[in-house]
Amino acid sequence: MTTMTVPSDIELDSVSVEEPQPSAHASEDASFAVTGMTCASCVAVVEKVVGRLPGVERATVNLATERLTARFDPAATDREAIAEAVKKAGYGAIPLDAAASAAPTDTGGPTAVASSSVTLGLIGMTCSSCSAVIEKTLNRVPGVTSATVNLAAETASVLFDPAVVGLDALIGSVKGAGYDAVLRVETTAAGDGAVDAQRDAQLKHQKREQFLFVFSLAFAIPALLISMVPGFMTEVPAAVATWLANTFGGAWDPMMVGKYLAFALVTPVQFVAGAQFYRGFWHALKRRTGNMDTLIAIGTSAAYFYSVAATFVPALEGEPVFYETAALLITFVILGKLLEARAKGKTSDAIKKLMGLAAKTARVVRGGEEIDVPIEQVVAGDVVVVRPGEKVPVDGLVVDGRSSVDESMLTGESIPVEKNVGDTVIGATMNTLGSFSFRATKVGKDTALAQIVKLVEDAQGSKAPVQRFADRISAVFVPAVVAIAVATFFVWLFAVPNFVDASFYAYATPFVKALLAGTAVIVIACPCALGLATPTAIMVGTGKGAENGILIKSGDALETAYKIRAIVFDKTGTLTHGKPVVTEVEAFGGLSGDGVYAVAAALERGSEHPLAEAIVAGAKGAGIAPERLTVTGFAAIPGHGVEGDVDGLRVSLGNRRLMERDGIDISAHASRVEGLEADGKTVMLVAVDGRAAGLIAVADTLKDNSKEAVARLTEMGVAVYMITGDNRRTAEAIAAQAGILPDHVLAEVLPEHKAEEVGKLQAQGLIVAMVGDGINDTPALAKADVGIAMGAGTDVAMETGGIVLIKNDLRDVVTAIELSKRTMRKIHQNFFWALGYNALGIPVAALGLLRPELAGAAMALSSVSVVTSSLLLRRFKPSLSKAVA
Amino acid sequence: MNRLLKIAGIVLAVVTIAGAATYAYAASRSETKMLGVVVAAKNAAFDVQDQPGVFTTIAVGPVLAPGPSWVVVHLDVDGKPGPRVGLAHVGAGETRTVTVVLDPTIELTEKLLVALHADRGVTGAFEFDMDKFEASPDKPYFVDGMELAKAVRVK
Repeated sequence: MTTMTVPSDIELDSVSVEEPQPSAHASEDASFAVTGMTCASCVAVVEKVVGRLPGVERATVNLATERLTARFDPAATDREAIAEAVKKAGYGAIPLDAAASAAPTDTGGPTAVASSSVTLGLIGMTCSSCSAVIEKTLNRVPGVTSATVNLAAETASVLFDPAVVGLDALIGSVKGAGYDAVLRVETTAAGDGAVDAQRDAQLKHQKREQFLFVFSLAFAIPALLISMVPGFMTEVPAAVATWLANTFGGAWDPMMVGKYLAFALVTPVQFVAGAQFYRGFWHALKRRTGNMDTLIAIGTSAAYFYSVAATFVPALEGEPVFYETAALLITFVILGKLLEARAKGKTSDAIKKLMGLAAKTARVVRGGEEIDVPIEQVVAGDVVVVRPGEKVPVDGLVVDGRSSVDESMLTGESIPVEKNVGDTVIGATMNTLGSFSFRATKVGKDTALAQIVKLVEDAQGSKAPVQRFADRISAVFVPAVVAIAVATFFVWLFAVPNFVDASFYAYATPFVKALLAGTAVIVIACPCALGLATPTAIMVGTGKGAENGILIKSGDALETAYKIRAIVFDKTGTLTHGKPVVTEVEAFGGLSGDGVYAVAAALERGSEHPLAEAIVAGAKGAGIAPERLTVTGFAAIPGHGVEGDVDGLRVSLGNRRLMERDGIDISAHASRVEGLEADGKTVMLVAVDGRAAGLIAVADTLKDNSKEAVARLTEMGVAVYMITGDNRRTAEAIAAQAGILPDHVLAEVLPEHKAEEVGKLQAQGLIVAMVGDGINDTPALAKADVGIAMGAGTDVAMETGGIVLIKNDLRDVVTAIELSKRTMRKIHQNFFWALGYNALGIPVAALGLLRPELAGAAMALSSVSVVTSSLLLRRFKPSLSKAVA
Repeated sequence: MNRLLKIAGIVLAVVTIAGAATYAYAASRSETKMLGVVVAAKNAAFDVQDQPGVFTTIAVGPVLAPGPSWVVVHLDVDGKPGPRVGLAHVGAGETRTVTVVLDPTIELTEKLLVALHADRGVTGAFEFDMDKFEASPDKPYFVDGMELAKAVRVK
């Protein structure tokens, strides 16, 4: 017996191929945005009423996303009936797959009708209170079903009924609340061609803020010098007083001259640079709410107007003034906003990088000539020519030529991928040496790059459940702070003087001390940092994921991923390559190994069966040319194998049943066959002229990195399971190779039952992730706490699951969990610092140990420090290196 | 160019801050000079002659005041104003002679110091406390950086 080693760069010894399963019935899935739900009871009600409808197989409601997913038989019911049932239960429901259509669909209550969605770019928000105000304002507009504001991304996602309300009214309502809004233009991969109105407006706003900062600083520094710095405090007012006396006559008290100078310097700062805080305060007041503007306006006004009184009311002329406090406070807050905007801009670097990948022009064949056109003018069906070193401009199928394409920018895969006629090419990837032409199949917003950008943008704009914690605190924060400040003022004014020596008031009266302490409390307690803690970390985390080929589709998925305690891997196509390859070719005598391979490949040449394709491809790879052999009398015997004459030899190729049928004795090789089958391989026997001539073993092999990923996940304390339709023996064989315990193998599970298996693990109290290719495991991906879909190449994968791995590399599952852990740790750190800063700052200020302007500086720095802390996530590196990919 | 401007801006800011800090430090080390109400010499002045032997009043004049003012008489303590022994109110403009009544309970020094103060707070109420100089509205007038005051011999 001779054994032939199969040339392969892949680890072998795998199991049989899982055949794709046809869907059990022609059900349809539909998603609905549900409004009006407040708690888990509402979820139960909606699920119940929809579940009772005839034809509805499954109804699942997610309270966090306010989404109903229903599977139903379209012959028995339809989307409208489901929406109507929800409406009757007292909630609103909008079919989401119909949301893109322009026609309004009356599916909910009077305020719960919507058929269009829009993203507005927002300008002028400073803290989470602002986002709450805008959310509240938009949600009150008749016709708006839901509005979600993202403070870090400065966007509002609005679901509305265009028959009731228009875009102008939405923008008008935001403006009415004291902010600015512009329609956010859909991102495309078109690069320069895209006009981002929000970016322009933000730049304009930033320039105005920069001007106001310089303006404030120009006045605040002299005001500080003449108010606080000893030399300037005496000399400058004296010199000015002398000049005034000599020029205009009269008597000039330098102290009063100093006050007048400070008044003249600070008044423009208070009412020009500080006007924005008064505007914000007024709009918040109209809505009976509070925000950062409220606190800054109150704080600066207290210092400013007290100083005005001490300047112009004769009875108070002897009192000190605090003009510089108001000016410095405004200057520091504007500086803080500028630094924050700068830092926030960096949190969306990942998107900018992705968008920058798009090609600007394409060379297309039109009228028989190659012409360069802007990328926006490429239409599906165009033949595009790509020369060496050029970018592939859009997605398509190669129709001529061959080359290697570097897809690392999108997939992270460092080795260029061979492209031949019929292969798919992705826009924004880089051609290497060859030239080829391809037919454009997806252009503009439909390209893979545009889809990825959109997906990451959506994720960055989504709200993680942990954000609710910050929202709840922010809602009560401003009124609470004002109350604390007022209490501080009265305690300092009335209580403290009873407990301190008169010398304590040598330099300031009780009123002044009370005013300073109250103002400092108001200023230091601004909740800006708290509002930024979550969204900035989510933005950086999802962006970092995209850089590593991991598309995290929502903050929800990012937040859940770090809690995963069990991971279920689909076997075929996930742990394994999903394609069978020949692992062993053995000859029993008579023919050589090559001879066995040759006759088998010749016989299978015309077959499209996956096993036949594996044998033909394997033989060609071994340098055998099966097409040189002549095959006659070919016959396929279903469930057994194939037979035919190859160059005059009678050849049978198939399983043991075929050998039995043909009366061929294989008893001498039975143990070897059983051994290979025990390893999970499919063994095909070859008989020539009625005698056993050899065997060919075929298996679906484990992916290179599966074992490493499983080992790392196990180290991380995650229980790793494998799910497959294969028989247990085959399944356990591949599981053993991957390092998965036999009792963690979920074998012989039909695709439609995979979700149930996931449910069983969840019932044990485990947070479960399902990893699959999204083809036949969609319900399981949806059922899992986190669905991780492999391969962004398919639309199904892009739509399924909370996390999409662009590469077919299981190590990215580890990276996704690590990234989730790091992001959540960062969010918790941010909360700690933001709340810690307030928790520490308020008592310090209330004790009178902090001057208001220093409180303002600390407040501005707290926002900057939280954003900077989130930016540190950019240093994240996966623990499993891709260097050896 | 932008880079150069940035560097120039940073250097300027550093120099300005360092200069201001140095000046402020130097100024804080020197004796703090308290300055009263500043007036021009042409708007505020008075004359007073030695008056040996007086005990109950002292005559000051003529007095030129920029506004309601006080003629204040102090004991001379080592050339510096000591306890106040007399006070008289004068109106704006020139007053030929002002008679200041002296406190009979205080023993006079060989010289007395006469100064002209502003009446800037409540008119007619002398609001000045040397210990709360800054907060006192009725500070002395200063001309060319010097207090408007004169010594007069009474013994």
